[in-house]
Amino acid sequence: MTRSWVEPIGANINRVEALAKVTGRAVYTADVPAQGAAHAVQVPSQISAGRVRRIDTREAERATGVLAVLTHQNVPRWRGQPAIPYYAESRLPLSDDRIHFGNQCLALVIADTLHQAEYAASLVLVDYQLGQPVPNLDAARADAYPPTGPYPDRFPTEHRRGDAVAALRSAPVRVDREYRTATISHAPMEPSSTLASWDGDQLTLHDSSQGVFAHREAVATAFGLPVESVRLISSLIGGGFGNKSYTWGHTLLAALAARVVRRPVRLTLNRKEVFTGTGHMPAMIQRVRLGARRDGTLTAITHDTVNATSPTDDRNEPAIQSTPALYAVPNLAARAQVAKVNIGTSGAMRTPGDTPGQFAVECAMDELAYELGMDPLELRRKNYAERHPQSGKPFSGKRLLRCYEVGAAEFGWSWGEAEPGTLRDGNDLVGYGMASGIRAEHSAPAAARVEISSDGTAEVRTGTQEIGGGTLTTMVQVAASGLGVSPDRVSIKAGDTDLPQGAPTFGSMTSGSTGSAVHLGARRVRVAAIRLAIRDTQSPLHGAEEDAVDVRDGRLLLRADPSRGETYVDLLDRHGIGALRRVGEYQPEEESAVERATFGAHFVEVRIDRQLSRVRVARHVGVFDCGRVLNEKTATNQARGGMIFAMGGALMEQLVPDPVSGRLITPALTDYHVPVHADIGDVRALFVGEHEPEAHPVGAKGLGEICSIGIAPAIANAVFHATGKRVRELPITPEKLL
Amino acid sequence: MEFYRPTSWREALEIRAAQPDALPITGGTDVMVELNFDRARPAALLDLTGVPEITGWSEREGQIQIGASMSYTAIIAELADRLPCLALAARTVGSPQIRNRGTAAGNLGAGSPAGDSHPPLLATGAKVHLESVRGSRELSIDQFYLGVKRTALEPDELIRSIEVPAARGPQQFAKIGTRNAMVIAVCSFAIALDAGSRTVGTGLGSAAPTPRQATDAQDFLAEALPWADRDPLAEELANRFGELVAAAAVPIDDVRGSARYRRHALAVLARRTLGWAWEEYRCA
Ligand SMILES: Cc1cc2nc3c(=O)[nH]c(=O)nc-3n(C[C@H](O)[C@H](O)[C@H](O)COP(=O)(O)OP(=O)(O)OC[C@H]3O[C@@H](n4cnc5c(N)ncnc54)[C@H](O)[C@@H]3O)c2cc1C
Repeated sequence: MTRSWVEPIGANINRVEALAKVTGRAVYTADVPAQGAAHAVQVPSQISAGRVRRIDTREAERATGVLAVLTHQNVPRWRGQPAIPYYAESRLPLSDDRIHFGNQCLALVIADTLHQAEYAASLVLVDYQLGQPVPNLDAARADAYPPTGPYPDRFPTEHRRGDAVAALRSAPVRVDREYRTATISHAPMEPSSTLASWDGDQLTLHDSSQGVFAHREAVATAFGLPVESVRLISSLIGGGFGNKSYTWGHTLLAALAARVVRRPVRLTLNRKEVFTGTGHMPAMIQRVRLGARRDGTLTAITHDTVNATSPTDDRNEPAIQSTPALYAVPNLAARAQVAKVNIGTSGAMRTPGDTPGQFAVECAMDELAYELGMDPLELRRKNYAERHPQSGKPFSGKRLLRCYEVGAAEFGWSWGEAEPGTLRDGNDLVGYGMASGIRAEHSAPAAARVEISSDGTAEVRTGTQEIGGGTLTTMVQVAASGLGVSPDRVSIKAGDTDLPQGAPTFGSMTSGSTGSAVHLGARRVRVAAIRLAIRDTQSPLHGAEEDAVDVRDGRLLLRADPSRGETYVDLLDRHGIGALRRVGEYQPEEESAVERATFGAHFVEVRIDRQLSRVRVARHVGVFDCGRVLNEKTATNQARGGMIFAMGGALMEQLVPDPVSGRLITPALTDYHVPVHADIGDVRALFVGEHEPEAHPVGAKGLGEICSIGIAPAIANAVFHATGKRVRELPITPEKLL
Repeated sequence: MEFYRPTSWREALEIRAAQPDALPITGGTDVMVELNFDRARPAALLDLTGVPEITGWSEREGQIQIGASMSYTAIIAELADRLPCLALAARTVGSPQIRNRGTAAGNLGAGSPAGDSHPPLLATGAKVHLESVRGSRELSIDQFYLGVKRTALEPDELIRSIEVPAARGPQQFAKIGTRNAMVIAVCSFAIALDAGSRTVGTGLGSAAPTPRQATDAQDFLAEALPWADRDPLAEELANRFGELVAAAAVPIDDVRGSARYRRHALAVLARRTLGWAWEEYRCA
């Protein structure tokens, strides 16, 4: 044998698309070549509430190169209402004359070139009838109500157990606080892009999509087509974070435009449209009450939330969803409300519900710890839930105690040595804080075709999407492991509804669900090859037991006597088989005896300039239980990225609405600040997960979302430790600490 | 849109005179943003990057002439010893890409109160050389700024160069942003000590409708500093200086920061930069 065999799962291999990306050859949706494509540009509303009294498109229509101008007056009727949330809103674009938020699309201009379309869009004259906008959550709060419709059907608006009110009343120690979070944006680097072309009733869409199958269905419904008539292709995605989890108006409009002008049409959002029209995490106000005994045992939690929602839809940000799972507390009541604001519909943003929800609860836990004079880590250990406290079921795996232990050791956590506001280093106030995080692990049906060819190469085909997290690479590793070949022999085709259906790349479902499909497919190929060999009199493995055969580096061999064996190449060649292929299908259980979740613990050191009150996260240790780590390099990258992403939300990011009109005044990267390198301290991500086949056959769980939960509270708690001042409103800007 | 690319200064001035609605563009790091956001739709662009007379810098009798198309990167690389304050400020501008293109003249042309060149130019008493086909004139920097994004530049004039005296003592610059790089100043402050004349220059950014000096603070400090004895800086003196700087500010509330924070932070920056500069003076 020429090289030593390394198990592909867990190996720190580079990304399969790395070279293409760093050399600029990688193809993103906006790079997909399209002969003769026309360009579409949306005409944005200048007001945030009201109606279009009149819209004059004559001058735009006469402009050079213009092919069509679509408005609510001449747009062909949509044929169906796609299901929420994969189409995000119950109002389809250009449906009527109503204006619900600033920058809403009022017309679509299609022209030969982008510049012609942009110019003509500026010639569309709109006569507005001004409405009375509700600018922000504060203005709307008094009218908050329990949401109805498809969003609350998916995300329950109430959870209860025991009698939380009575338990609170009799609790010797209580915390009762209100927390606020700002409207924040995914701010992906790549603005969404769509390229649509029709061939008769057959529609092909290239779309920046985190879920090609779910989105195909939404598009097919809007056009009244069977799903088979729509092919949706997602090339590499330049950052998703949920921004591309749902379809938004522009995707439908591009397809509609292509039908109207009978040519392929490309529509790429501008930066402002990304901020205003493709979702965001809504502003929230949350009240948390905790009741506890003097020894720290929790007796009650209540969690009441209200979030801003768009005029068209009641979307409750599911901030209460994990509260029942957090701690072993007997009495609990959680309730979600919404309040109408003139802003676009919010969407799933890493990490939906759990980032803001656990910010509130985990800050309250810290407040309780200080109230009790107890180490916040100890308080969490004390209320640790071995089983799921709501369902009583065991977890498929829960190594949160191990996260605490490893994180505390790595960080050097020790509590009680310094009173809040007393630790100094030179001109800096120094503070330590911690928090934990939990995320329910979701699953979706997934399929993958895996094949090994007689030339020794292998291929995976599955409609997953590469959104930047390393999916293509980890799926290659899973296939390589199942087949017993080196990952560099394996290629992958993804992001296309013509492929076997993968899970969407949101909800952290790739590793567990798509990964399991690939795993099962590869194992089936392996078993088929082994059976072929052991029944073949010409094979050195003839007569061996199936279980006694292993495959390493493309060679089938006897575990007990590795010198006996043969390669896939020889085996397939001899049998005249060009390629051996099998489909792996992963079907999540309907009713499960276990609860699945991922866990994290965060330990943070902040340094705060004593006079200028600027907060820096100097050190951050995050420890995660996401089952088996498929690739330490991509996992570390993903986790550190998620931690930094959440640090941005905690310290600097906010979409600011104008206090009168509600139009966003920072819908540009000039003012919507995400962290830059100079803001990033020593950020470490560690993993304590182990192979967890009880969660999914592949033994891995999701990581993309758990890595952004628990950071904001850990930072806010550290800020309290540093300054003695509780900031209960994100982002923690210097003003709030003056 | 017309695009002019003169290859001599004379030609540039002639185009400027003939077509005052042609927007000058040097690095383009402000102009292109304005176009991109559809805030400006100039009839024409007048690209100055092909004009040889305004590249680079020269020195005469302790005065540095910075050509209008000299980039921040070049200022940092070539003038950090002579113009430490301006070089410090230049280092905080945008990103490497922006510093490679952006110019101090463009910063003046844009006239934003948040521009990072302004505090050092104010603190060092720089002059702006303006030219048109009618002739040339020289303005002291504090006369150049008229209002928010309004300057003394006439419609037919171009900035030819900025004249800055080589440092005659320690200089410092400090800036606060909502993050640590790639950020427009929440507020900024520059100080220049002139060891020879025993005077002090200051410049405040993002603190008023125009960049400005804190003249009371300057006068106070020139008088109060123990120039001869080189004593350590007295805390009351630094505090008083900070107060006077803050008093010179008339900031606003905006998305980057509140007026209250700006005033507070300016006092802090003033005390700090003075402390650094004074230490350097004492040890020199
Ligand atoms: C990403 C980014 C980050 C930035 N960060 C910062 C920052 O940190 N600090 C900061 O101060 N600025 C920053 N800026 C703004 C900009 O880079 C600076 O203002 C820069 O100094 C402009 O120089 P320029 O040569 O690119 O000007 P241009 O864009 O070419 O011109 C700016 C203005 O000056 C006029 N002009 C240019 N040259 C002349 C001339 N010779 N005579 C008369 N008028 C002229 C133009 O007509 C225009 O009005 C940033 C910009 C971007 C895009």
